[in-house]
Amino acid sequence: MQAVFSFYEKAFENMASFSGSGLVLELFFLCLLFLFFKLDEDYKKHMLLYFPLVVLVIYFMPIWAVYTSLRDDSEILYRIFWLIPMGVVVCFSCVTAISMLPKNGFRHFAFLGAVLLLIFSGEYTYGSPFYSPAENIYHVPDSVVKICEEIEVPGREIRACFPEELVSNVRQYSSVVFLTYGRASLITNYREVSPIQELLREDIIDTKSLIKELRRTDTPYLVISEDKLFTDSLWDYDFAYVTTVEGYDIYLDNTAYIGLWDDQEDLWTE
Amino acid sequence: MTFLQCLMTILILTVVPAILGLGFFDKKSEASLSLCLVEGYIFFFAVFQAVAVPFIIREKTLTQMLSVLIPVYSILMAISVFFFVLNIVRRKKQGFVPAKEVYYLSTSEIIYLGLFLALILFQIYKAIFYVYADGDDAFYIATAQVADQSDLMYLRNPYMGDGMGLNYRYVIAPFPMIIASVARLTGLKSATVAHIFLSPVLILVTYLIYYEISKILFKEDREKRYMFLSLLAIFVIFGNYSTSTAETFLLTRSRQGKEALANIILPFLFLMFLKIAEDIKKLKFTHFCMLTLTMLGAALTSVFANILAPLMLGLFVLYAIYRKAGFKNIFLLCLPVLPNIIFLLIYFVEG
Repeated sequence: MQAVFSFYEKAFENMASFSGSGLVLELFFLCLLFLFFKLDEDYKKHMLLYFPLVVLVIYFMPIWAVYTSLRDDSEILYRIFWLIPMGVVVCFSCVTAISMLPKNGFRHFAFLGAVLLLIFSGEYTYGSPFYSPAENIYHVPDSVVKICEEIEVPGREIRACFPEELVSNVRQYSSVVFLTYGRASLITNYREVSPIQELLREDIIDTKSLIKELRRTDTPYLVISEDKLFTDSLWDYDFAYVTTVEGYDIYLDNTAYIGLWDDQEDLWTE
Repeated sequence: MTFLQCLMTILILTVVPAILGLGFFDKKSEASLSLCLVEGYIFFFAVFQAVAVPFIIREKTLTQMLSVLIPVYSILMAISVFFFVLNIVRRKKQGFVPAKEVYYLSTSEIIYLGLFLALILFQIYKAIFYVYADGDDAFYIATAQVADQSDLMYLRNPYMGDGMGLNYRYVIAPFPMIIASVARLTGLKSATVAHIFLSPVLILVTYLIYYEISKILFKEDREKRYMFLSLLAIFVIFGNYSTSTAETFLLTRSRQGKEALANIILPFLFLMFLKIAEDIKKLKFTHFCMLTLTMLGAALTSVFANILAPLMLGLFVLYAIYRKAGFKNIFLLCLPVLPNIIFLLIYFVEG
């Protein structure tokens, strides 16, 4: 009984998460009601009305409780709602309602009304704070492009430690730049704790510990924001300053070998 | 990025699928460029899935995969053109005269069509010139970049670069390998292919599917069709009330497999269902082929597609039973899920 209650709690949570901040789901149900009365019993009514309702019934069936209990990624259960052609149902209903008006200017005003209804029910995608103008054709920060071009060694891979804000973008641009920690360390659900990451988050970075970790992970390059503070100079540990690119200092381990590997004919084979 | 590279990328992503789609042209109906491109894309995805997965599982290189993929696509394109020409010739011999499309548009039709086209262009502009900081790109685009640059498919950790074993969750849904393949053939970086070319093309294909849906729902009434499409475009633009909606995925993650599932595969299945439901007792061979290709193409996009797409088809089978479609038609409607069963078996056995 507890398991059943827990499943339905999760199912409603998932549905609430899918419906989000707008009124689109409510609008959708209103449209279903409208179609129930408006459409004749034909294939259009079956596909636009009954099909979505059956999908909703399926969503609340206990079989998904088995799935959610077995899978770690059960939060993607909301994707069942993708089976429902929500946009088609809502927009078809709007057009059908508009068509009930006589063919004159009223229809066009009704269309404007439908537009406003959709605008106020939803949320403007491009208003999201995650949107920004692209700096280049790769859609990664220019700093990533320039840093990668600075540190890449033709013919071999090279490992570098990047700050958190750049880590997700580096390997989208260059796969020959390996990372000390990757995006997996940034994801809350799948966090793989990286000691280097924790060191870099300090207000004043413990230089000795950082260098020790960088050498342990075979990382010749350190890329760090130019305003970061260290307990000791990196030069004391044989990490030489190379250059500054777009506000990021690049340091290179003088003890590391960054030439080509003579005994490797084909670098990329296992 | 040179002009030639741009041209090559556009040709691969539009002309190749369009030619593949010619083979499905029904001799009794009107040829429609939009339907050619849509069905061609489904065919494109299906073929890619069928060829790519065995190569990835056997840990072959991207070069080896392309050495088979390119001839396969070339042969299929030639066959498509052959069947297209054959259908045209048969139509002429049978004296089939297609209904003349009236190309004169009324003022309101021009306004609604113009609004719809303007909204699409706006979305394409945003896709090309703006960045949506989606963390999953660090996996999918990096996976494509690794495959292009190192020739290894799913054998390098995309986040950090070190070697790794095959993760079957991603191996059986190798959508990023399309990006890698195009990047390899054109010399562009995978990120460029994904953001500048693939994103706009997939947005366009999505709206072409909805255009075809509007033809079924509103038949010859163009004003209603264009009104519907304009409202749909607005619905999509204002679809960010949740990060989980298909509309959000369309505009913010249009280069990822999950988006192709939500906005191409599933809507196309809905289009197919509308077509079949019009006369459910007369299931055509092309319908059966298209459904099978769609299910195979669905597997390319995401491992969960092997559950979602068959589930959607399963619901339609129940509907077909309700409509007394006949045993043979119902059996044919069940067969297309076989590829998904195979991929799920691979996933559960190996994964």
